[in-house]
Amino acid sequence: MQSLFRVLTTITIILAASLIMVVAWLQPPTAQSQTVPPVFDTEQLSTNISQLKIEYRAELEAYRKEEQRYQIAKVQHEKLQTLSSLEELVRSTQSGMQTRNQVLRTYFELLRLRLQQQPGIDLDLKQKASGAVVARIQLLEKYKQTLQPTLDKPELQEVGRTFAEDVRTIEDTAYQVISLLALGELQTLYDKTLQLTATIKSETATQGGALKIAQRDRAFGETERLLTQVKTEVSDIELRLTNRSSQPYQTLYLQGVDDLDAVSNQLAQALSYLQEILQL
Amino acid sequence: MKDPTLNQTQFSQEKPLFEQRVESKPEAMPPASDLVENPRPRRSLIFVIGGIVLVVLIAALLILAIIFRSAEPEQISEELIETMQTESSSPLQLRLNELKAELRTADPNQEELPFPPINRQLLIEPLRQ
Repeated sequence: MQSLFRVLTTITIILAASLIMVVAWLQPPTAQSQTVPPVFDTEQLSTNISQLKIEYRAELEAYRKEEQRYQIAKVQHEKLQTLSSLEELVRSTQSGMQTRNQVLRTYFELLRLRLQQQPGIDLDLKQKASGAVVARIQLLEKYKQTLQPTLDKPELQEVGRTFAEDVRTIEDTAYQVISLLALGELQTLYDKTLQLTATIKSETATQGGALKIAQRDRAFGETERLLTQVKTEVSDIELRLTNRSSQPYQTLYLQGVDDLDAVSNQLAQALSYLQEILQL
Repeated sequence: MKDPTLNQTQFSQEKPLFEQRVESKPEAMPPASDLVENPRPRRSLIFVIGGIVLVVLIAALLILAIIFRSAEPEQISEELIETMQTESSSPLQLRLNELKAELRTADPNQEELPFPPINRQLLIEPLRQ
């Protein structure tokens, strides 16, 4: 019996050890086991943006529920026309306004950080947009203060009326930033493509025979022509954003999406050319 | 000459001695019951069974581990596969692949932060024009 017990104990220990080893092998490497890179401001900025995005989604969800409550209260009051139904409508309106304000406040904070993070934007345009974003955040802060105490029907109606006017400016600033972010992304990609083209050109300059070098030179010529075209189009879009008169940014953005799309396709074509050059 | 084996007197005297030898022969052999109860073969049998069970279980664990590992790449995105495939490629090829991936992410048709879908007319009464 003792020998049987010993054998079973040994088997159990070996099995437990094997199981632990297998589980450890299957586990993905933990953060501790990986080399921890030094924390830069850009990384901190990315972390803050990710956290704000999570907050923004949660606030948007809360706002949707409040708006639903407001819609129900509105229908109820239209039917019943009682003081209690009016009270419920007033309270749900104020609650809806508060959550809507919070959604916009977080959204503009996100825009502010993304603008700060995005390279490839003309400094003057960036500063103007950044100033506009801060002004909108301050405006939303004022609304927050106004909506903190319990307001009555006429007071809430007045807040709703002024907001309906201000929301146009608020939305226009948002589109100003959205346009710059899209432009900045493509400008950054253009700069990187230009750098990569120069590096490939210098590193492959002497590779292969005379025929190969001549073929590669023609390919580089075509790629550079395409990139010059991209540069011209990016500059045109930037100029339109700088010299806009009274045209809203939303209109400019919607008109510019096709142009941005064309630039994106041209950059993809240039990268495809570079792929071919590398395989020559 | 007289054959000594035919001497009956001597035989009758030595007979009990022969009988004792004959009788003691079966006593020298271990009884059949003792052979069965011998612990050595039983212990080796337990070791053999234990060993087989151990090998089978370790093999099963390894197979499970291999199945789980081979199932993981199915969940990996195409971009990651592309990155993994190019791990052995040249630095220039790697930079080119990174740029391609960045360009796919920066699609101008997909707004990263669209304006929130809010109700602009959150009012108790509709506004008078």
